[in-house]
Amino acid sequence: MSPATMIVAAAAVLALAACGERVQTMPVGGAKNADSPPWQITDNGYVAPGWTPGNESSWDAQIKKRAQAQNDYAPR
Amino acid sequence: MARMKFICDAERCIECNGCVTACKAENDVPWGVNRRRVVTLNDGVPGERSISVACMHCSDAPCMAVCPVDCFYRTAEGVVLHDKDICIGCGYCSYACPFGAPQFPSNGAFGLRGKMDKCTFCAGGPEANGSQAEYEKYGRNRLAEGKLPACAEMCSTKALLGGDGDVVADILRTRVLNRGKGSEVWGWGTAYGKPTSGQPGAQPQEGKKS
Repeated sequence: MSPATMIVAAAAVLALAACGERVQTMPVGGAKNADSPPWQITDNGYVAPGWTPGNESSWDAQIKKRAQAQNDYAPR
Repeated sequence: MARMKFICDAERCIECNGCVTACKAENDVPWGVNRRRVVTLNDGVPGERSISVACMHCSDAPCMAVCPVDCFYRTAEGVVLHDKDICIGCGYCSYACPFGAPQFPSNGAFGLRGKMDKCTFCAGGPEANGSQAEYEKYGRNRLAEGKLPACAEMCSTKALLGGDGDVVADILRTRVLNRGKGSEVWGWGTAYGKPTSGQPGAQPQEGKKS
């Protein structure tokens, strides 16, 4: 193989290497990071008292109770 | 399972902007961005009414439909959130939203449009609940702390209601029944739409605003 052929082959290999691109298609289900449910929290010092972090029904009851604080007509 | 909703009682809103301030302070919202705004209808005219508007966390959100990179997601509680790691700041959501909820910080010398910012119902984002990373990108995750959004809880006249849709709808309904008026400007039907004919639960139209 002559040096000229080798140079052409090397140039072709380099040129083709530029064709390699990273995949840009979106993965199935999207690229979003998974979010965790709101009742799962490690205490950051701001967690309201009256419910148990990690317990869904306890969180649900807490949110409903908290919403009733906006109700002027609720029995106190 | 709670389905989170906001509703503003136009008869009670006194345009104090306390909700706007509470939101900005609680979530460290950047300059030039207001996740919540108070809109006054017929300003200066006797009988003017004000309502506090932010993301309504639509059940069929147009922002989600138009996002070219699919950065939005809806939580099981019905809160529409987005992933700032994916947002490219194209602004399509801003054009699609009828409430003007998506906002873009422009802090560059040439008016560069940053990543979209909007009301999160104080539910943070995809980062770990209550983490510093979540706070820096999206603000406080009050829902995970067992609280309701700061704007609603700080409202001095309890005009802005936030929380489980059933509960807040009940509160508003009780008020309207007790005072005999008050959902003409901004009732549940105006905010979230009425059942369309042919859909389950559709009611016959009577030409009356809810």
